[in-house]
Amino acid sequence: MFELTTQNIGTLLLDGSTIFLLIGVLMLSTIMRKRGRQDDKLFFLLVIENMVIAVADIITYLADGKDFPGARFLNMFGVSVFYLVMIMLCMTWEQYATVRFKRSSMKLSKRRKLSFIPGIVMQFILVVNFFVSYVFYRDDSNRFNGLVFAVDRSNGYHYGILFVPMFLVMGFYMVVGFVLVAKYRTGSNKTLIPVWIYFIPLAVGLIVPFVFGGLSLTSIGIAMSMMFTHLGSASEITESVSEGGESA
Amino acid sequence: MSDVGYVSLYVNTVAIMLCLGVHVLVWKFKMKDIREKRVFLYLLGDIVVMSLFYILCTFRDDGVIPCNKLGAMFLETGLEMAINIFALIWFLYVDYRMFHSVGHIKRNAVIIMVPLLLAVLMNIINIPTKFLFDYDMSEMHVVETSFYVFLDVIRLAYFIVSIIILVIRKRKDERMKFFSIGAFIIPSVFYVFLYYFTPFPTVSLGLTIAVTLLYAEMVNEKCYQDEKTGFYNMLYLDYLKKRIAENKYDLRSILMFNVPESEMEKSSPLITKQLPEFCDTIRCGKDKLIILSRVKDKGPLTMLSEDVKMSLEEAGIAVESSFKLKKKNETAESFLEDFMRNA
Repeated sequence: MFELTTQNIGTLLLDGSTIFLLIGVLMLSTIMRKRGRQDDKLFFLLVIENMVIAVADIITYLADGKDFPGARFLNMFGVSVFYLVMIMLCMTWEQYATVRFKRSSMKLSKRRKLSFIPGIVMQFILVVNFFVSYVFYRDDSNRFNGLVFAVDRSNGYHYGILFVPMFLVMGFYMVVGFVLVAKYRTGSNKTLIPVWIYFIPLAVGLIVPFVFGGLSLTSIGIAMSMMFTHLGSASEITESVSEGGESA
Repeated sequence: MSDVGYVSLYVNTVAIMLCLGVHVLVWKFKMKDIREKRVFLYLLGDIVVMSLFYILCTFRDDGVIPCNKLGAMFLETGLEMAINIFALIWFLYVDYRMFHSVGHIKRNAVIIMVPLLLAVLMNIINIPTKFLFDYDMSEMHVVETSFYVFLDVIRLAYFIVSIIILVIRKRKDERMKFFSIGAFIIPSVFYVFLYYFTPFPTVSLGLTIAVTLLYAEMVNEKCYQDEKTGFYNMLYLDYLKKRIAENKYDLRSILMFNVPESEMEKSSPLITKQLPEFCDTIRCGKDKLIILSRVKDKGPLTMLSEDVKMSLEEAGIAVESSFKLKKKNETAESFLEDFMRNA
């Protein structure tokens, strides 16, 4: 039977708050998107990806460990979507930092195209993992934990051999993005807005649930980090708008 | 700690993190009006204090921190005070955003402060008398009496009155476009609603999200402002043109001032002080300012132009001025277009 536990309600609360916050930020940053800049478009994409992650997180937490019909499928599906979109978000973040702070064009050089290969390969593996793990479910006779993860017959979660490499791939893009933010902040951003403000919410969101368990702070940690980055750097935008020209 | 305790801890920790992050961003935000910035920071600071009290109260209820009855009452009273103070700071913030005048607040200081003083007094008297609420040490939770509703009424009064005067003001003042009532009300009300129907203290998270969205609007407003002077820019003029075309902006006259570029920043507070309500000042060139106003008679318009000119010349700023009144049979749209063409 489906039962809403206190943890489920807590997850709904936190992930729901993420979506709430992001919708609000999206609606209120319309003027920035009207500039038509590439980094604004990437930020929009980041927000959408973050929302999808929050929804996938809710689905996963509601289905995890439960025995209602379809619970196992929902759990597998929710977790697969979560990781797929997480990888996409990490790659988008790296692109955003490159375009926004390093001021590169969105047009990809050969080297940047190559840097996307680990992310794309990992996403392909996750898609394969979903089908393979769902079919070859883990039970007493079959100890297959999936390529990345598997959900067994009693709706329990198990890590596969590529679980840690997946996090390393995500970490790679995230770290590159933050290094670009730290290195290429210029003008008012460099002197006024500390780099840790972008980094700490994300770190807390990832580390605290991992160490203490309980609720997921991932999506709200990412939301805060992305939001602080984008809104914090908006102080550059009025440098030349008073002349009616394009902003910095 | 119980599951409810963990959720409460996580929710309020998130509220604190979000508040502190926005606090840093606002602190670094280039804002012409330091007073407005300061009040906004006090709002954020109060939410952090509120969240900390919610966490301590959660620890108290779960037995994580040993507490006697007096300690429990003090924690609850501290939380109530933080909520009361938030209501007051919010009211002061709305008042200042609308009128940009400390004088306006001072003139109404008694009316503004009395409800808060009453709420504080009630909280203090409650500690020995328990006429508002008591702490049940056996069940480890707060028990509210029927008089507690008076405390809620006082806080609601601050919010409701601030919303009403904001709604009235928004109809006349275009600058209030950057102060969205919905951005504050929707998250606050929703999370207060959740607080009453779930065991989780979600109020601080709701207020944090609301205040964060207000900050996002501040950033929005900055897109429409000239960084050096704080006057609005051509982007804002484009927005006003749309409003004029929709007959939602009452344009009656336009004043123009040619101020040397080097003196623009210095002239900003001098000009702003002279202007009547509901005027919009736009910097439309390196040395050109236009003021869209609702003054419809030549006499007051001449006086206004002379007052601004005199104020600038007294400060040693050489300025050229001109103005134009909209004709009766002329539309506001064509009036503005003609003016801009000839300017």
